[in-house]
Parts: sequence; structure tokens; C-alpha cells
Amino acid sequence: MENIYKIKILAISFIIGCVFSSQGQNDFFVHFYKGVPFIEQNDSIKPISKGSIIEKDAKLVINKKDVVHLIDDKGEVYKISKTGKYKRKELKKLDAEKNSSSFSKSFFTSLWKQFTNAAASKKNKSAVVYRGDDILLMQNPIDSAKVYASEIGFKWKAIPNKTKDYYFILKDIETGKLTKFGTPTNELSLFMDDGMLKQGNNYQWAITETKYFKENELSFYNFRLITKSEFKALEPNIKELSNYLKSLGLTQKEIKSTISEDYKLYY
Amino acid sequence: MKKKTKLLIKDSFFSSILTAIIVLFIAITFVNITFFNPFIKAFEDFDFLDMYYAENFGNSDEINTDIILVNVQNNSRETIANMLEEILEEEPRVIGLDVIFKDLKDFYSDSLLASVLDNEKIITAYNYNDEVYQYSNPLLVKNNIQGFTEINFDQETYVMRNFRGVKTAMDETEHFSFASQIAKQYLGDSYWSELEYDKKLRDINTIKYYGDYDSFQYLDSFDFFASYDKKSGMKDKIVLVGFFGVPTGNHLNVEDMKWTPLNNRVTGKSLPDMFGVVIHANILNMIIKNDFIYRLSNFWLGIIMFFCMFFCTMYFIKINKKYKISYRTRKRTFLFVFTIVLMGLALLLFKRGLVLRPIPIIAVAILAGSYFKYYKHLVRYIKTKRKWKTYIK
Repeated sequence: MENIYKIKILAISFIIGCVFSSQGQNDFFVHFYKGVPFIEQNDSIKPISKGSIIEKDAKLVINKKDVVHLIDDKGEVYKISKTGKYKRKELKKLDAEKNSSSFSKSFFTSLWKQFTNAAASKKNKSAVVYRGDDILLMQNPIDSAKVYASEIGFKWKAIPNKTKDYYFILKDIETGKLTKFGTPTNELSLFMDDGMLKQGNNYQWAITETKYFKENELSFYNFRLITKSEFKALEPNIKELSNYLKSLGLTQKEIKSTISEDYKLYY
Repeated sequence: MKKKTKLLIKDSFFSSILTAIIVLFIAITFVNITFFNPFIKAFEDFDFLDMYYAENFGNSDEINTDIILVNVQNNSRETIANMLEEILEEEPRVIGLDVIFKDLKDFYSDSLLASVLDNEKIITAYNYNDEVYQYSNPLLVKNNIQGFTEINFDQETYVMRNFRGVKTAMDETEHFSFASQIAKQYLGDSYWSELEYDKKLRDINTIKYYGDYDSFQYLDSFDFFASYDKKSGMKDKIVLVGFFGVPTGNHLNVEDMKWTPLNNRVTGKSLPDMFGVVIHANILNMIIKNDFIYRLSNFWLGIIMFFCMFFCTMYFIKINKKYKISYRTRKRTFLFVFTIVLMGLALLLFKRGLVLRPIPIIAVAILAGSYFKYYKHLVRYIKTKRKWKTYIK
């Protein structure tokens, strides 16, 4: 009898322990990311942003060249760069980054640097500034925008008395392919054609005054053509926000422009 | 105890006293001679313990999840109001807004901001310097708890090593710092009193830096609105809203940037390295965790200095008598090793939460080696006048 009682107690403790440990299981938040990793959840995908939570039934999808740093409740950092789909269970198995350097090792390393003067900066000190003047030209869509539309209108500042063409550069981030258009005006509309512009892809655009530009000297604006499922995920919030702005007395046009300017979403 | 040892102790003691008098005289002279001002100025902002942060001796890979930083960048009042509203929806325990809205701008954005700010969870900032106060416009900030944003009121020092949490003004009114007000709200009045913070924060305390903005969870306005996900588990956390660069962390935006011990240049000229809101976050972190650094009082520092001086003198007198030729080499080697060991010890103690300034101790050890010859001459002179037993030849 006493044994059964003990077993019961042990079983209850085990169950309680399991419940608490699963509740205490860390949430994972995105602290840093590079590239276009996303979260797959219930047949829909959404791009990650800093602060996003990886929920229980979600999978973190890491593609080539993507890097994600996750943190848990304790503040431990998990750096992921290996391609794959990670369930929460798998994330829990990852090892957190640990600073293995001991105090004495750091102290003597620093001392050695001081003695050998290795700590001194060996950089030249040039007195000059770099200006990517082209960046000042781009206006719409703004940098890091999300676009869900069949037509995108690009607009840039017009330079007074300019007679020569502007050059519009479009770069597909995934393929690295550059497309160049010359136009005398300061506006250009491109259409979603599943060729040059594809939903779910990330692009960069820039305006330059010369057709012989150096790509690494250009300043680009980024934008992503979000998919239907991504837009659907955002839709309730857009509606809520639109209703709120409407209640403040803004017209439909003003609401759209506020959402584009402040929330970087064009639809 | 052997007679020789007794004489050595006696000589070391008197020599240390003589050195202490000379050091005291030099210290007073240095303070009072204007001619030396540039020299003093060059070193007044130097602290050896800055090396602890500059060289990353306390580096941790962990990210602070108790305080979440949100960068307002150069956004409009309307956007700031929207951000605050989004944050409030996540139910953090306290929000600190390190932005002063001095003037009214336009009716639409001001009314939006005023309606969001009218929330007891939001603690706002004011500037308090030389008994002059600079608040946000009362039409925008009405009933919020407010805290002053000055770090330590020390006008001579530019590096933010210390902070003051509570200050009594000339008119006897009590002022709490921005970080103190947030911590008080977060911890609750009873726990605040239990920790005796009203008294403790009145003193100048050393800031225990957790790290720069990237050691905390942080979001900028774009991260905030790019996704409509719930953000970073803000529930029951402290959210600090302020400016830390466009783009986030841009150290060329020197507005509200200060020098801290984390600057990788310990001496010489450099750009400021930390945004004000991040300094507040570091102070806040140590207050809520009751994780303070204790400063060794001048009395105990004096005692340690005297003992170091005494033992060093004893060693120097001994080797001076024993090794006539190699004395100087041995003395310098000893001082070199002593300096390194003491520097290491001071950094280790700092890591453990105790401030022991090694420079004065190293200085007296060096001076003990230089000045005991004056004692030697003094003893020789005394011996010509009267009988004086000494270890020194």
C-alpha cells in the first residue's frame, strides 16, 4: 500500500515536473538576422523580424546565406546559419554561445598586446567623406518596403534643368541579376509579370545619372514583393490600423499613404 | 624574532612614514600649483579600471532580456505615439520614455501623443541641471511620473563611471533619476524600501555596465512595424524608448552620446561611445538586480597603501644591503611584477564587484623604492648626533 502511495507521489511529481519544465521551456526570440529567413506555421509563411517569437508549432526556415541569432528567456544566444527547417524541439537542442575565454587568459593577452604595441590602430587616417548622392534621389517605395500589388510605381526626385536620362537599376537579390532602364522622367511603373518581378522575391533599386556605374558604389533601396499568404497574415492588422486612422478622420488616400510611409507597406 | 629582523621592521616603518609625508607633500603641491594643471587635466579622466570594459574582461555572450530598448530614431511624434501604443498593448510593466517634447508641434500629432502618454505605466524624462528644469510640454505630459536624466552631476568628468539616483534640490525637494523612477515602479514601493534605495541611491555609485545597446534586446521603429507579431515577450518587462542612432547604433550620430569606460580608447581623444538611453538601461539593470559595485573607502585605501609601502620598503632595504651590484635590476624587476600582479588583482576584484584603484598603490610602491635613500641619509645624520640602532649600514 505504502509502495503504491510512493509510486503515485513519484508519478505526480514527474507529471508536474514535466508540465513545469515544458512551460519553463524557453521562448525563442529573433535578436538578429541576415538574409531572408522566414517562419513556416500552419501552411503559411511569414518573414521574420527582430523580436519575432518562434512559436510552438512554427518552423524556422534558413536558406543559403541566411543567419539568425535567437535568444531565449535567459538571454542565451543561439546562432544558426546552417540551411534547413528547424522545429522548436530542434532549436532547444542547439548549444548556446558561451564565452570560453577565462579572465587570466584575457588579461595576459591584453598585456601582451600592450607590450608588443599590437593594440595600436594601424589604419590610415584619411580626412575625407564619401557621399552616395544617388541615395538622395530615391523616394518611393521607401527603403526596406514590403509591396503587395500588381504594379509598382517607382518615383525619385527630379533634378532641376536636367536634360539627360536617369538610369533606373533593379537588382534581384536571389539571382544577383541587374536590369537597367534609361528614362528622362522621374517616374517608372513596373508590373508583376513572374519574370523580372516575382512574388516572394527580394529586390533592390537605385537611380543613377550615369549608365556606366560601379555597382559597389551605388546606394540601393530594398523592397520585398510579399506573397498572398504573407499579406493575408498582415491583413487583420492593416484593417485594424485603417479603422483606427479612419476614426481619426483620415481619408482612404491618407490612410494608404500613412501606412506606406510609416509602416513601409505598399498594397 | 631575530634582532636583525626587528631592526629591519623598525627601519621599514620609519622609512614608510617618511615616504608618506613626502607623498602627501607632493600631492598637496600638485593640487595647488597651477603650472601643473595641463598635466592634471591630461590624467583627470583616466581610470585604469576602464581597461576592464575596454578590453572586454567581463564579456558575456548573454543578452539582457529584462530591459528592452526601442529606438525612436528620427520618427515623427505620430509614429512615436503609434509605437508607444503598440508597446502598451504588449503589457510591459513599465515604459521609460527618454525623450523630451519641449514644444507643441501640430495639433494632430500632439493630440495623438498626449492621449498615448496619458498612461501611468509611462515614465517620462526631464532635464535637471544647475537647478534649472526642462520638462516636456505640460499639454503633452500631464500626470506621468518623471525622472531627471543627468547621470552624475559631476561637471569635471566626462566619462560616465558613476551615477546618482536621488538628489535633493536647493529648495529641499527630492528628485529621482529617470532610471530610479523606472526601477521604483518596477520593483514596487515595499521592495524599494526593503533595499533601502532611498538612502543608497543618494550616494554616488559606480555604474556596473552590462554592455552597449546590442547587449540588450533592442528594436528600432522599422523592426517594430515591419511585422505585426507580438514582440519579444514584452509582457511584464521594462521597455526603454529613446534615441540610439539612425540606423540603430550609428556612432556618428553624436546627439546624446556620452563617453563611458567601454570606449576602446582608454586614454587620448576619441568619439563618445554610448547613447544616453543605453547608459540609463545599464543603471536600471544594476538597480533592479541589486547588483552594485562597492567602492573601497579612502580610509581602507590609505591602510592598503601604507602596508604595501611598508612591505616594499622592507624588501628594498633588504636587497639593498645584500646585493650591491644587482640591486637596481632586482628592484625594477620586483616593481614590474608587483605592478602586473596588482593590476590583475584590481581587475579581478572589479569583476567581483569591488573597486580597488591600483594606481595610487603602484605609485607609493615606486616612491617607496626611490625615497628610502632619504631615510638612509636621515639615519646617517641621526647617527652622527646620537646612538641609533639600524639595519641599514
